[in-house]
Amino acid sequence: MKRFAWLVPVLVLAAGEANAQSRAYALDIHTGPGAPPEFVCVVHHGPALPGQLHLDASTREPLLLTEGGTATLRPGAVPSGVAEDTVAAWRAMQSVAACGAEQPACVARLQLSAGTGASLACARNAPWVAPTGKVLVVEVGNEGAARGVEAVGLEGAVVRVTVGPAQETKGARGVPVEEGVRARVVGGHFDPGPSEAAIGHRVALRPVARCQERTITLPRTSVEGVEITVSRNGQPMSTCRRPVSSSIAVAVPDAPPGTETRVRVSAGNSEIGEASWASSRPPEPILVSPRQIQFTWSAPCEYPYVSCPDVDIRGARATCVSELVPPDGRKTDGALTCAYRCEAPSISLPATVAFHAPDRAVSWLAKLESAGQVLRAHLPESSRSFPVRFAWSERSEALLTRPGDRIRLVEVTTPKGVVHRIEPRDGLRVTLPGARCGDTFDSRVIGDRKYEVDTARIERGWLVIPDPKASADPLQVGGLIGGGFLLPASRFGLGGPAGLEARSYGTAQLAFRYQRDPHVESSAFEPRGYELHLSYVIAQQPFFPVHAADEHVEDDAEYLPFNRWMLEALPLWQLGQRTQLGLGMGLGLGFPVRTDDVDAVGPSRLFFIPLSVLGRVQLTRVVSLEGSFRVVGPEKVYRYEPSPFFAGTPERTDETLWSGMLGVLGVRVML
Amino acid sequence: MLQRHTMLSLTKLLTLGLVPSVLAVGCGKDDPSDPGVSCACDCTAQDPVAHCVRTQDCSTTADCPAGTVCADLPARLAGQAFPDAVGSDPLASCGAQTPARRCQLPDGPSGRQALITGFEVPMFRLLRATSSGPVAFTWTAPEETHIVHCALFACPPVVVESVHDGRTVYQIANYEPCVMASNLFEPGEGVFDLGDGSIVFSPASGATCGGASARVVRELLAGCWAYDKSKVIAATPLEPVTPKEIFGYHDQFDLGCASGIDGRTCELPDESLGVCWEGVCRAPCVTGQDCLAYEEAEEPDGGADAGGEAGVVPLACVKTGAYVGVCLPPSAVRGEVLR
Repeated sequence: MKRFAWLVPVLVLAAGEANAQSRAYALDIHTGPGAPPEFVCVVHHGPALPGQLHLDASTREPLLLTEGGTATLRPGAVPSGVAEDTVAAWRAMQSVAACGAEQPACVARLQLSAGTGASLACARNAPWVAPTGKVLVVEVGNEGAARGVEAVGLEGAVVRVTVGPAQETKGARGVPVEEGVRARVVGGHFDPGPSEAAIGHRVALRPVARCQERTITLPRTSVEGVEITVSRNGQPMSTCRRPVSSSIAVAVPDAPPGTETRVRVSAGNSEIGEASWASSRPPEPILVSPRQIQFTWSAPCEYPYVSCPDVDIRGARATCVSELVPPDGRKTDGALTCAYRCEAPSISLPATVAFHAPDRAVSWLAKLESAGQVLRAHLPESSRSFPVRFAWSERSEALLTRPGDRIRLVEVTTPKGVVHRIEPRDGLRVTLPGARCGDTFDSRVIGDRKYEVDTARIERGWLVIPDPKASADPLQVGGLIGGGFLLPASRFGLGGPAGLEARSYGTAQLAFRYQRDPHVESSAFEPRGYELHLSYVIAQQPFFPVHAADEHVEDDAEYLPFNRWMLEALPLWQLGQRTQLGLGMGLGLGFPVRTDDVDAVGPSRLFFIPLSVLGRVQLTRVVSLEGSFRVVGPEKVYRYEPSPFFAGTPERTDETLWSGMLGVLGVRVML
Repeated sequence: MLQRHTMLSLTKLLTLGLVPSVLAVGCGKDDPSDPGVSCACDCTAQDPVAHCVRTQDCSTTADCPAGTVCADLPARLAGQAFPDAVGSDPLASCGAQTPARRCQLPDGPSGRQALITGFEVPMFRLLRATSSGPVAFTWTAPEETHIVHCALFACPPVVVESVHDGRTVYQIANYEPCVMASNLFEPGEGVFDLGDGSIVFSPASGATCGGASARVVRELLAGCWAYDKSKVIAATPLEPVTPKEIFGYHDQFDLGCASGIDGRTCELPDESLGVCWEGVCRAPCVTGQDCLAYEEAEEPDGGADAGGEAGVVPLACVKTGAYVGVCLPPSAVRGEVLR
């Protein structure tokens, strides 16, 4: 009785005429954060009205009594004639739909005043309130004046109760019945609470749920069912199995602040994730993060390696292991697939996975949204880079250091005109934005020799540079501009007319070069190539002019501008890294520049070049400096003497002249 | 035109040798080293330089004896060998017998462009440097001129063209027979002073085939041509000069025949040039036609003292072994038969 002593001052409804007629009260339910209960049941000790569930005074059937007067609901049929909302509420209290709802702390209970019969009238919350399955049981009345509840309604957080007239005016102890009513929370899914008196027609209640029902948000997973285990301080509290859905309800009993509660979700032997908190109540929703996750990465063709890229999950401190699928690497179609398993204290999905090439040369990111996901991300097209592979024969590689045939680099030109200059060595990468497997690019070998444009191709993620053998161009065309001195042999006592001087000359040359295939082995004594030179030389041709008989000056040569066309053929030998030697011969045709000079230096005449020597220093593949020496002759040098008495055209005699043509400097360009 | 003369026997004429003499074929030297002299030809004139002539079928004036030019033969004389000439003329039959051109006395002054057209070169002009006394010429030669050669010709120069070793060569073919004085200028500037006796031209030694003779001068021409370092590049028109304007080269001139030396060049009354003959200036001739313009009074036989009346008689072309004779009255050769 002592337990119900509170009813003495509490369950009192205001008096006067109240004892003789029904009165309506509003119970304001303050449940704090969260939705209001779906059902409210009002227990009263007045006469049971039709449709209400009567609880036997002694057995509290259909309740199952437990110690301390606390009753838990016992599954069983609800007597007929009970109102529909009451039946639904009664069943809701018996429901254990939420995972863990079967825990004692979460099972609905009632703590009714002992010794008296009671009736239960329930109402469902308004349709606009989200159903929660929660039932709030409130006991209404006052001691000594059992007043029946005639109607119960629930709208949001307000319970509207119509209380009937008092059945007696004195309490059980003869105490005058209080006016008004009192109310208190006696169970359901809430802890019993203190009695609250009506103030006017309103009573404020603060029910406290004993067990919180939350929604678990799982990471995306491909499994169909999961096992959910709730533990507290390492001790399992509940375990249940549920099919995977976007929201799984779980009931978690309240705990003292600071107590760690953990929810672990697994599927078979694989752990999908877990969540934990140390507050007294769980968060809403409970986000379950995986600790271990598996996914695969299907390498695109542009992935050049035969091993899997390393991965890490950003912000998760994950440890990942990879495995080739199949284990022997690429499949027959060239595709490579890697399976990853990552473990971390917590992995939040979606997560950013960073892939690192095996050589750490490049990295790229992918978004992992669920376990088991197949990722295909690779380098962004805008920053895609490829390792370079030189598909060269051993002979071609030997050209990298062979003087005269040396290969310095390879130019790869994209369709947009971007030129990449690649040195032929290992470990190079080239950034080719937007490039894909099968794409081709113009490539040209740059070196001592001329090479035609060839085609580089992206194959299995490698930029493959073709063997230069096929693209070596044996023919070159170019020219030379230069000058030097024409040295008459007589200056060196080698015969010919005396009195001649060395005279300068200038030359322009059209040249054709044929170079032997560098891939064909040859000895150092064999010419590396051959050149055909067609040269134009502007020089001066000597003659000995006529003089008045009494003023004749011996060997007083004069010079007139003179053309020479020369055709020479020269084999070329490579002397050093950049030096070449040419030896050849040819023939030429000389004639005066001005027709007026034909009489002085003679008409056109052929001459020979029995020896032509050139030395060349290659500055670039195209440009070289050159010195040369040629022997040219025989050429006629005319001497004019007076005709008898100067009676007309002077007489002309000729002498044979051989000359050395010393080319001091020539700049050669060969394209 | 009347000419007076004293009658001389032909024997005297021949003895004195005062008219141009003629040497027969092969009379002189033939020195290849001296191209100015050639006696190895069918007919050779020596006036005074020996040179080949073809009087009856000449090509150019160079084929003619001094004082004559090669010209078309008048139709009426075609095929005839100057039947109207008197005396001996060994050159009268030199060449073909049916020629179109013969060596004749010039009708008038010769062409002035002989050097320009002959050398086929541009022209530059001679400027007389003095207005009286001996004449001198200056010029402005082309820029590239190296040497200028000037000469005084006693007969019209003839430039012939030939090709040697592929080169076209121009030469004044009658240079040596014609030139009386010459001067070379190197560089090609200077004054060609015809009063300067030092520039007299002397033919090559031995350029005769046996003995020099006086030349018949019909006109005097001065001309220059310019050389660059190897060829003739320009020439002047020929400028006529008179014996009075020049130095007396080779004692060729005796305008009044005062010296009494026959064969010198004198001045006829019409101011043309003639030949001194026994103190009288006589007209030269090749045929009798050349003397038709001349006549003179002839004294009757026995002279004026004989009381005869003097008459006007035509002159005959008298040749004394030369191609060019002199116009003489018939009495001068009376009793003499020239064969």
